Amino acid sequence: MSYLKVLRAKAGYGRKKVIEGLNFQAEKGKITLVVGPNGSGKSTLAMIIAGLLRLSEGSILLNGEDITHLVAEERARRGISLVPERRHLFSEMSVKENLLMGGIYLPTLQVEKEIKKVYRLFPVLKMRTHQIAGTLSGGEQQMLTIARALICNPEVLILDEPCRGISYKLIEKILRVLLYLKEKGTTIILIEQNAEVMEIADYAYAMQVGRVIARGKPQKVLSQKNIKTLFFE
Amino acid sequence: MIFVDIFIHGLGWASIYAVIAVGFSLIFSASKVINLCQGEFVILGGLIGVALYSIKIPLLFIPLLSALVVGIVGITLERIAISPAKKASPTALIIITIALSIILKSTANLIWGSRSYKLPSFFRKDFINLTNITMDPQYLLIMGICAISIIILTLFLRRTRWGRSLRACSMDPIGARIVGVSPEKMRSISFCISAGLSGMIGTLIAPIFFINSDYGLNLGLKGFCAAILGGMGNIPGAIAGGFIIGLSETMGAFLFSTYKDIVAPLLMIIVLYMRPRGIMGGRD
Repeated sequence: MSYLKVLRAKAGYGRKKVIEGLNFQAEKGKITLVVGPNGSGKSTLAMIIAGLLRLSEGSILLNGEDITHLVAEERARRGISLVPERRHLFSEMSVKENLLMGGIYLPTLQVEKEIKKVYRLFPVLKMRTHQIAGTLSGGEQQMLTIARALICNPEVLILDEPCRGISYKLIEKILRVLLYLKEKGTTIILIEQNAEVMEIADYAYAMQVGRVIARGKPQKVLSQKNIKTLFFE
Repeated sequence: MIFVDIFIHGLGWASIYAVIAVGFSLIFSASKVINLCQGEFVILGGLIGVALYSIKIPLLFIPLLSALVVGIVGITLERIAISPAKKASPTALIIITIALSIILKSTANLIWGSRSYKLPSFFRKDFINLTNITMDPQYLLIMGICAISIIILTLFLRRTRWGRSLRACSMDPIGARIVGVSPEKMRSISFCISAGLSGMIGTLIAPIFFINSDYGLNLGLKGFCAAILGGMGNIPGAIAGGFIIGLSETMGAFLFSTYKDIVAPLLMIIVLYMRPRGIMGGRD
């Protein structure tokens, strides 16, 4: 059953429309992959779901409820968590403070419990708990961004190119975490161009210039000749 | 000994400018708004203090009550005038705050008239002697309360959810929205705290300074100079700026009293030539 639906969405920046008439669905407890070349509207899709960009037309439904007019902070409180491409960490705060911010609207005891959980998933963050986020390595910052998004136990987790520019070992780690979250029933939307992550997805969308050009099982979508030409050659 | 007297007098004014500058910086860091009605909040606090005293409220409670009333005025003005201007440019927002400052001044003039008011000293003695140094205890009270306020504000920013959220908005407003913090709400809170602090300062200076609805601009500009000097948006910088302005102004007044009001803007210009982001390098 579709947990999150984007219907006939139109959005962009000023007069420039990036997404036009886009339909997208993500099922509960599944990993939905979104692939596409630069400028295809993948990140814009992530932003409209998270509420950072308003739709000029269309609607977004979360578990049947229309959330189109909710602002980003209200969507976060409804369980939509974003791991943005540019991370948007609080660079002058410590690792622990960043994690506390991830659960800013949760009771303190629950936040502490969730922090312990993410420390088990990413032990290096526990070692760096007092370190200022801006001084972490790129990989550690990426772990922190994901960990911050997990503190609120999200219903929907959107990851915008989480494996970009990080080591193979860390990519493996992130994929293990995503599979664990999937088992827990989290709805995951994974925006990626990295071939290695594609095997963990349950469903895939291929986008080009703001439109969906193919959808279906990842292997099927990605084996189409036109998609291969677009993304891998 | 006279230099020690002047120094203590200067420290009192430095604390006042530091708190006003902290108000500027707090609002700026949370919302990138330069609120030019900060000085009017100080005067309003003083005048409310006078009104409260006239209805026999004990002096001890007046700073807190004034802070509360001016804090409410601050948040109300933000909701009515700043919040609806969502797409306004920084320049337009500055102009809105100038308009608010004129409205506050005119309203104060309507209620209290153009005469000057003074509160009695919070102490029974006008002067105390400490090892041959004669000083007005009100200045010590001002220094103490300003220091305590800044410590409480720092703890609030570091240890509480709202404080962390304010800092988060200043570092990365998009990141803040992603985790569920509303920058608009944080801007309202920053206005409330800054106005409240200024209101409290108004009642503390009322025993040493004639409170008149015309003096807000002068006080506000000195606080603004201190905030710019320290680095706008940087709270330790605002405190440092307040101390530099306050001490140099008092020393300047001792040497050539006619020109004391040019010290703050002059220092600001010199520092901006050398360090465009202020001495502690605030954010753009």
